[in-house]
Amino acid sequence: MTHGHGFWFYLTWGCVVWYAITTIYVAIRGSIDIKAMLRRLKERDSDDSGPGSASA
Amino acid sequence: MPHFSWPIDGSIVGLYLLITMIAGLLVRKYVSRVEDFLVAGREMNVYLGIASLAATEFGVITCMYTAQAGYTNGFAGAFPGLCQAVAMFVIGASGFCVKPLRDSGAMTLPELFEQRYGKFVRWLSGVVIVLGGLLNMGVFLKIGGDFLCLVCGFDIKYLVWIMGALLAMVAIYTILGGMLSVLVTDFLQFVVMSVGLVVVTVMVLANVGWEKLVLTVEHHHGAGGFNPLGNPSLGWAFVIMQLLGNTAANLTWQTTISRLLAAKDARTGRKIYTRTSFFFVCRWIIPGLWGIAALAILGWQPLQQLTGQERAGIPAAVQAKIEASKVGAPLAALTADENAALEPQIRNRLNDASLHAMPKFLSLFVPVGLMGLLIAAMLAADMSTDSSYMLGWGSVIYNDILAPFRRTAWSHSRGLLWNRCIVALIGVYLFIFGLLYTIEGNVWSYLLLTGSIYLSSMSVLLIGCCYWRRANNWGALGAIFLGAAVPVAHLAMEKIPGTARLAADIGKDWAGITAFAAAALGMVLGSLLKPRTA
Repeated sequence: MTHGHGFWFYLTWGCVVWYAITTIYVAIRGSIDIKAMLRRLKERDSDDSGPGSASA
Repeated sequence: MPHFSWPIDGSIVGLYLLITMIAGLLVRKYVSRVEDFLVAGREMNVYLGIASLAATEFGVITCMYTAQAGYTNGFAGAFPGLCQAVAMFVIGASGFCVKPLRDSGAMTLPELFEQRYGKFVRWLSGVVIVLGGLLNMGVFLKIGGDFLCLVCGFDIKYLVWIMGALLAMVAIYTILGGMLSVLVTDFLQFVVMSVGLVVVTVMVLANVGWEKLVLTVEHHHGAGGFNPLGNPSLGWAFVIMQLLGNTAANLTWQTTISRLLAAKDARTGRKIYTRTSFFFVCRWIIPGLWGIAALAILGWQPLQQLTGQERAGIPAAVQAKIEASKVGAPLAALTADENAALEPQIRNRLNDASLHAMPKFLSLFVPVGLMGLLIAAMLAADMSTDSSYMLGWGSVIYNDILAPFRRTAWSHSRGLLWNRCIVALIGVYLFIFGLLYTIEGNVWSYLLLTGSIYLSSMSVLLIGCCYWRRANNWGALGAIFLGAAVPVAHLAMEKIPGTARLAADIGKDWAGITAFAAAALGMVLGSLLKPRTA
């Protein structure tokens, strides 16, 4: 099956499987990270403009 | 005939481009400070960091040179990926240099250096980083355009237009949204790119087959196709340079450490490193496999790069030597006179044979429908790399090279305007450099050599800054000058006809190793020579 090159055979298939699984996992968790990042930036911007809007 | 279909594949690519542009432009409203533009307000978490780092460090250029490595050196050509993965994992797990760097709160490497080595070293480090980085990325656009022309079957005369359109799209969202747009588009690009890479690789393994791939490598490269130390064109110099270069890149490469610096904290940054490390094996193995498949299906036929008329102008004996040459080295067996008799344009086309093999193979191998996914994946890879690189070097220009000219603090709006102008100027440079410069020899070696203009000295400065009390500005200046002098001299020798042969005999690997040794020597001698003050 490996034709005498087990290291490269298992490394190649390992890459394909790991990459496929990682893509799905990172796609889900990464989208959560983006939402959280944008929410924090929005909160920060509204905090920054808070005192100014209060005095207006 | 290439399998690209405008109605089907063109629609897939168009949809991808539309979604990316919308996403990139939508987040620009969150950019109100220079810190948002350069490091996304330091709000990036682990998985977005993994997606962004992986997408940034895999461009069409990566796909092309890793496939070229697979084509010309078999599985052994993927060895740099193993070095990079191990180095990144060890650095992330131990926190070596990256923990003090992130804890310092600096936005760029030179900013950290100022604390130990002073203002002038900060400024000079910025110049060296930008010089090495821009020389390095100058070839990205042209090679990306080459890939698209070859895979889609477009006439090469459209290369300039393809380069221009790609650059314009990337520049628009990078200029407007900075790191925030880059992170969000990187995420989309990571997903599209990864799906395309995995699907095409499974197709290659299923249709070409492991046995044929292994037999092809054995036939063309022998044992050296599996072991870099048994490969006459790789060997110890290659292995040492890969270990040094990849470790230094993980420590100091601006686009890599900008993910560390944009992370919420040092712990998050280290997690991004350890969890992305294995991606760097995939980054070499997957396109490398495509390169091997190209060799298995298309074979080594460098003369096919030329038109019938061009071929007719070459003597039959020279043609026979080129046709019988080692894979990836079409001109190696020619005498100096035979070489000189070939027009530069023909020499370049012959040298490009190994680089162009993989896209030619894919143009015939990938069916309609999947071709759209592949092109979208490669566009995603290219756009994420170009945007991050433009921003990465732009951030050093603004933060460090222009620092002496900011006597008083600039307003956020003025800082943002300058950053946007710098990114736009880098885009113009990329376009012009891509049209004018021609790489001599292997693309990866070129990238590592141009990168070592700063990788060697900056890694020495960083290690000295974090862990050696005696390190001082004399040592830093010695490391910068000696570390940059060697690769610059080698690149110049390659371009001067009288010294080109000597440069080829020395090789890019030895030139790179010498640069690291020279930088370390400069740091030690300079630091020890400076008199200690009370």
